[in-house]
Amino acid sequence: MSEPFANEMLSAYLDGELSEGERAELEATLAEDAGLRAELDALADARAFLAEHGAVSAPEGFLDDVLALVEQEPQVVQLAWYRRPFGIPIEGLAVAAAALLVVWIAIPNSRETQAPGTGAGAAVVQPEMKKARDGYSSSYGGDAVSDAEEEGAEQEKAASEGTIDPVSNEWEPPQQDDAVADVQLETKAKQAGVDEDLALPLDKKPAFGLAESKERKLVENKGSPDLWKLEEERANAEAAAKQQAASKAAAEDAQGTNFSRVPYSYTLYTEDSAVLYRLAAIAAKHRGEVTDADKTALEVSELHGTEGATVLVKLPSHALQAFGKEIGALGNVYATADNTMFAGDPVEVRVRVQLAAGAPEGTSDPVNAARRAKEQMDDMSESVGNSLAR
Amino acid sequence: MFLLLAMVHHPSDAELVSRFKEGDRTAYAEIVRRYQDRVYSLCLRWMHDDQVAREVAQDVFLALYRSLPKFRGDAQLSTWIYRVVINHCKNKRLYRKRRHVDFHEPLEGKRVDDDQPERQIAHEGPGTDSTTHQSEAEILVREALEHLDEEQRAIIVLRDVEDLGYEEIADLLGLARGTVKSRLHRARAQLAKVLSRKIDARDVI
Repeated sequence: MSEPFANEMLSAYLDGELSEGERAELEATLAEDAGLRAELDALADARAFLAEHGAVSAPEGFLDDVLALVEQEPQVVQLAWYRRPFGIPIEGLAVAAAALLVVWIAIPNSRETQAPGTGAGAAVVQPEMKKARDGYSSSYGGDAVSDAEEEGAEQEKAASEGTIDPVSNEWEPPQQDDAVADVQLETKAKQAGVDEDLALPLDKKPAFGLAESKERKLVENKGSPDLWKLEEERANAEAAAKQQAASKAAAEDAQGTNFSRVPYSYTLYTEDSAVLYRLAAIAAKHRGEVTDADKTALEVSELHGTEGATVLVKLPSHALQAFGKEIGALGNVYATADNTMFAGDPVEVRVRVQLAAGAPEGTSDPVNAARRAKEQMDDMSESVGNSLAR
Repeated sequence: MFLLLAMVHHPSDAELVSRFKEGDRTAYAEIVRRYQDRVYSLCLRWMHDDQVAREVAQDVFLALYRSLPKFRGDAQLSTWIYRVVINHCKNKRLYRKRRHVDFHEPLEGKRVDDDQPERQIAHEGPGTDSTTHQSEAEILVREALEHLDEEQRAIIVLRDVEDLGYEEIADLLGLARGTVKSRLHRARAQLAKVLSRKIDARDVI
């Protein structure tokens, strides 16, 4: 083993980061080389010293300071509907909600009873279902997560009992007494979805929400199997889209979590002093720093005619998009990189000035192009709106 | 019995995050309590200044507070926190560098930042007592680390103080594992040289 290579290996050897082969080879070299052993000892001492004395405790009162600081912050709490009862992800709940309603229809059929909501059928509602619905009704208005839990439990129960397979989406149409069903469904519609036979008291019934809207559709379509298939397909598509978004977010998480992809480095190509003064005004508005290429501070008035002048603005991350729009409005502005910036405050944004009539050939910037296209659309909409108003 | 169970129960990071998401502020306090020393250590070693390190560490926890609801738990919380610390330290150094605040200011004497409080340094030699803010070992660590560049310092602190593996350090700093390995060695060799010189000179520890 050559000496420089052996030296490089020493630290990794101390950290146990060498492969078996490398370790054996280094140990053989160490056995013969007293100088290398001395170096290893020195490295080990430095490592031990830093390990022993490198860590420090946070200053006294640090925790209290932080808690006082965040006390002023609004707490962002996940909405109850977004929680994950029993670990079921939200994308699964969409399917669960659809499946639950399908089960609601299917159970009487499987028990050789009438369709849900029909006189006799409603009277023999499965006890477990009734219990679950009672729980649903009693918890309504208190904690919406219980609703989701009930739905999830119902989905699991339905799946385990083989009443309906939400994955294969198989449907067996209920044997309905059409006349009775019609009367019942009309009654349901009049009562805005309240089904007394299912022990849902009027005053506890949700006045709005996904479940009710689906129930309304059920009423209107008299439990059409096609509708439910459609609903399930839609729910599945939503779940797939959410899953895709979650995967994308997970990939971003793997890189560092909670990053927002917004440009924070721009190049402005212009020789137009008016544009430069507008840039200077934007800089002044945001209390930005203006420097030349050597990072020497410039007066705002000196921005004009200084090749490579840079405006550096410190912005909270949530203001990046708006700032980008302001800068983009100057024209001939290009995001120099599709940067990924941590969404912590503040972010430093730079705009570099190139004295040129336009961008060089081949410069492309999809970020800005998309933004400009959107702005043009916005402007068009606005002008159309103004015309109509007149 | 319940009290005993409660005392023994040490909630995982994931559990704390989950509780925080549901609105439990005590979970956030526990996260800060759990990580404050590690975060502050890294900030201090990176920034070389108690006051600035404190500010940055506070910023880190504030950013965590704002971002935790979006934390999906695909990475470990500790890794995520280290990444936030590193980003904040880099931003802060860049910010101060652009404002011509010299980070390599002497440990003693007037501060470069007029608005910063006077630094309290323990006097050398015997007489160090509990009222001093920094021990001899602490001064030695600071002086030794000052001889390293920012990246070397980050690598060696993440490895020897925070006890992270090469792979994790490489991931956090966006370097190849081999680069971490060679730079860590150079940093450690440099540190060993400086420490040896200073320890010989002072005959401390």
